[in-house]
Amino acid sequence: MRKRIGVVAFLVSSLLAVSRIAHAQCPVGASQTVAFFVNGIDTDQEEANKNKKSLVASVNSYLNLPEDSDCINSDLAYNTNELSWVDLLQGYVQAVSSDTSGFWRIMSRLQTMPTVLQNLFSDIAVTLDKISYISDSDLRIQVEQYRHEIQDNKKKVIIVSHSQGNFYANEAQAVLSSLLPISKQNFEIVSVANPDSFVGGDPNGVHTTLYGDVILIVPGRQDPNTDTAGTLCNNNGQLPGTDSFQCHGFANSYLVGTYSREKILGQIVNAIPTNTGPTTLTLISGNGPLGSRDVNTQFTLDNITWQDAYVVPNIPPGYAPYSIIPGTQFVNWDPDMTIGPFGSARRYRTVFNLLAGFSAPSLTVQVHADNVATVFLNGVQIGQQTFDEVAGNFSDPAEVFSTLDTSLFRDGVNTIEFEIYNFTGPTAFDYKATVEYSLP
Amino acid sequence: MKNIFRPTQNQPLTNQEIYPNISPGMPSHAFSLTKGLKNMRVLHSPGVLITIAVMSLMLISTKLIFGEPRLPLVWTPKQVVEFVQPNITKTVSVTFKTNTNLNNVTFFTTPALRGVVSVNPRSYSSITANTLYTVSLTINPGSVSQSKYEGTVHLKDSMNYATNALPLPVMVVVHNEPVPSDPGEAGKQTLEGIDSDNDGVRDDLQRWIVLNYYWSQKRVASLRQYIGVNEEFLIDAGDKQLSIKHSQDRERAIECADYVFGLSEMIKATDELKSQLLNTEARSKAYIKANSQLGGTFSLRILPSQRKDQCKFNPDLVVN
Repeated sequence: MRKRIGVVAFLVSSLLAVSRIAHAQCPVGASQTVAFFVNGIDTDQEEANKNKKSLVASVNSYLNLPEDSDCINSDLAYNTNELSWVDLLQGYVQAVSSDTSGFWRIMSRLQTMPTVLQNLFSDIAVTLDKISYISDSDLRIQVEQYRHEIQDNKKKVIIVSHSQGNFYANEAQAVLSSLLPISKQNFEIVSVANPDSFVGGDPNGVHTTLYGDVILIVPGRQDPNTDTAGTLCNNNGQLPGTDSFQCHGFANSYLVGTYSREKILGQIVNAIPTNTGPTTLTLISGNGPLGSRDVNTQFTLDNITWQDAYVVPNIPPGYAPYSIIPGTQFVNWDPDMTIGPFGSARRYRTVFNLLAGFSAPSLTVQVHADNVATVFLNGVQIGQQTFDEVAGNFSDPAEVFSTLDTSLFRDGVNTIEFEIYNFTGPTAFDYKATVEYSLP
Repeated sequence: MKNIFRPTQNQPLTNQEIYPNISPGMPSHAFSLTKGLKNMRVLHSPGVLITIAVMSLMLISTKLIFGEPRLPLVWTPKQVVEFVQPNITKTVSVTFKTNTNLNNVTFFTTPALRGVVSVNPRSYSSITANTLYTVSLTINPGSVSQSKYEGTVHLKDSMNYATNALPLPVMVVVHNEPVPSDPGEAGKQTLEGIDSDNDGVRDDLQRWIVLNYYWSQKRVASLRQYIGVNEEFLIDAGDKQLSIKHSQDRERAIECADYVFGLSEMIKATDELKSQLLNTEARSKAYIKANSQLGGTFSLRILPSQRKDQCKFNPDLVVN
């Protein structure tokens, strides 16, 4: 059995290695991307910086580039918690030695953490939830930096968040989405060892957590999903193992694991726009299960603040079903699809990112709406359904609006807005937008 | 300082808690012996007790007949680590004593030290027990810099060439730059430590760097750059702006070290050195304080191709 697992692991690694040879160059979108590493509680700033450097070297290696390639723009968004560090240090002094050199060797993972200190670390990790861990001022600074990259520099931001860094990443995603249009086109989280219950902006909650990681002690964390081969973990269990602190290390454990490394680096590289020549982006409504929030479609009630729309059924209570554009689901500002508002409109939006140097752009939007959808690209109307309370507006075939006007498209973030007017009864809409453009 | 452990699970028990019937004045080894006998009920049988009594008598008789077992030769200091410059002879004094009388003993140095370390006097016709003897180690490093000689000095019986335990470990590092002497415990009394040559690097850290990387000038230079700024990071821990400035200088030093060492070796070397830097609770707390000033900061975005430019020296002009 062990032999068979070994053969399978070898085949998997060989296939992954072969599939990566295709990259062998810096993705064209890398220059338009900034990867931020956001650290966990067990990392001082120097170690966090080293983790960031290890991450860049690993991505280069994954892309078959030299370790010192300048391909990836990277940064460190640092956070810390002084009291936790002091508690850990005092624990070491009380239980191990007044010569604290060993403490720093442990925190650097040059030597293993004694059980007594591991228990203390677990206690600290359990008590630190998002509210107690996040510093509002630090979060504000981080959010402003991400906004600056997205809005001013027209770049995509990839957050690689480890451990409690996920608290910051998820909260930053929530705050950012209230400030500007956010989707996976311009902001994406690569979540590692997540103590939170979700991944901001990703309804599927894609993450990498090793079996046996100490983070599993945290109530409400995401489940482990990654085999420990090649890591510093010593078990494949659902709970922390005896070396769970070692297991938790970002550079020493996650980035060297056979499976964890592939998952993390693959997710990062896939988040970087890689295409040259003609490129197609598809945006749809209803990302996520029914009742959840659609992280790619937002609505506003006051034209100032925006929040994620709800995914709703295509059968409003007491009414005939709407037709559905294949691959989409209906969305609405109200999860219960209650009646209204009558005789007024709600605004929704979704965004896409165009890399600098794009050419020959086009946008095609299919839409069903109860009752009338008016579609805008970057504030300019490109189409409107029949302004009447007619079933044709939410029945097949969907209305199609398109534009080839290059002047309507921008470098960086582009916004498609939908103004959904409702005469009477329930309201909801679905859409599928296709963006095509070329890169040199 | 509060006790932050859960008392029922992790607090180490005292002997008094484990053995409440033992008087507090009793030596610690007595606790374990008494406790052991108390638990070993099988020993209460008469046959076993007689056997133990006979064996004990035999042991006592042996001791009376053959005397005390030979105890180690005691050296002060317990080891010698000396940094010397090429072609500069240095003499170091060490003392030793034995607890037995010895006759016709000779000092012997292991092959790695021969030609570099000589012992004076070279031999004694007799050694009196429990008497302090001073010998000189003359270190003649020759002209080859960036080298290390490591071995032991033995006091051997001239008749049978048996070594009188314990030998004295000796390490000689030949290095172009002078290296200060070991500050010992005095170097741990303050946050700043002792920097006797005022070069911005604590003496103990300067010694550690040269001891581990004597063979590479550029590694020594890059670690000095790294640790110098980390020392400032500790000293200015209460000042947010200075902490940020030092952390940026440290990032530059890390990038330089990455260029010089390569990534994985750099991480290991700087992690090891940092653990030496933070060898007291006060220093560790200062470091944590300084580090806490860095929440909400970002890195300098130094590209891999710009690493060499972060060095305060030109690594390409250094031979090794």
